[in-house]
Amino acid sequence: MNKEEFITQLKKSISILDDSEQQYFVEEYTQHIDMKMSQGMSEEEAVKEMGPVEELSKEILESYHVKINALEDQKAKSVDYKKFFGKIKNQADKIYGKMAADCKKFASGIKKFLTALKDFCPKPLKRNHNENVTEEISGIPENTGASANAGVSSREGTAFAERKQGGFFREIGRMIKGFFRGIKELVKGCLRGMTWLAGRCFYIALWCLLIMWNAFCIGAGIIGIFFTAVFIFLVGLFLVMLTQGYPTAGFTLCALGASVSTGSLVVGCFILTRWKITKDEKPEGGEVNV
Amino acid sequence: MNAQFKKGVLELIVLESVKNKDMYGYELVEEVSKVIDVNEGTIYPLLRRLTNEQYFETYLVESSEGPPRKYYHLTAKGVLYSNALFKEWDAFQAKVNEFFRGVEHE
Repeated sequence: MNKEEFITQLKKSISILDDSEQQYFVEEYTQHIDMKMSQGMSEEEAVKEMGPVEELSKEILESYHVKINALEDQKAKSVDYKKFFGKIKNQADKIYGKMAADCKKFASGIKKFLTALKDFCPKPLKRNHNENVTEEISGIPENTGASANAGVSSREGTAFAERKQGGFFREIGRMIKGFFRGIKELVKGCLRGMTWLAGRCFYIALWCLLIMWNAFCIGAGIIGIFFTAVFIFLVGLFLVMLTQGYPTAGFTLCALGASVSTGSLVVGCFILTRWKITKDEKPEGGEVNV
Repeated sequence: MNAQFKKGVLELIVLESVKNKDMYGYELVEEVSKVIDVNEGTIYPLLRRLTNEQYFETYLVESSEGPPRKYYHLTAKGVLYSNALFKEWDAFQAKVNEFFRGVEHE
């Protein structure tokens, strides 16, 4: 280890101390090693004379009455917690983001549908009513009218009515268009929401399946352990009886075989437990062949 | 030599060394190494602790070779502490030696 490595390692292991305290040790050790080297010692030797970094840092921290083990434990724990909660938070953020986007689309679909519906329903009635009124208005001067004024007004009236009528059809067309567009959006939103929900359900179902599978494996394993113990006991029993002169050689062999097979069943059960859902990976062999 | 023995007496040796003459770290390490064999690095945590407890004060002196040297000087508080510690050590080692002599003669 050279001087640089020694100093960086030391600094890292006492990084809990104040900067000024760290600075002190860095300066003193650097100077000490430099002086050793100026007296003809090699860098490696000079560093070695200082003693191992772990011991030094322990001694330094001890001189500040730091409880070293507690410090390390705390560090390890906090790192673990951070990782764990970070993972959960990421997942939650992802799900929430997707959910929010889907909800938004769904809501906008419904909104469009509703506005289209509102445009479609009450307005034609209102328009018809208005139309009747205008017709009535235009009808009155026609009935009475020989005067020039009346003629003008009637012409204006019918033109107004025609324009209104054209507008009315155009309006209806627009409303129907809007209505269908709204329905389309609604269906799209529904589909999106449903596919997302189905995906989630599938994922959750997969997890449930996994947990059930593991429970089954562990349960079978535990029962298997019990049976193995019983069979091993029987092997012992029959062996003892065999030595006593009983004809139990066949039973001994049977019990031995049974204990071995149940034992391997236990091992198999524990090997078959799965704790992760892994996506299908691309086959690597295929690319090599091509 | 037993590591526990060294640890206990190192503080006193450092204090007594600096009482005679102000010294900088490297010099002090050489001085201590004459008496007991310790990892050279272990003296500095001790120096820092004694400085933080105000038994030592430090000052810098320019040197012809390399950066300025940090000299350690025993304060009045340090002298009192060192004397008390020395008395303790003296009484302790006298008692222990007396005990060993008694054991030998039996």
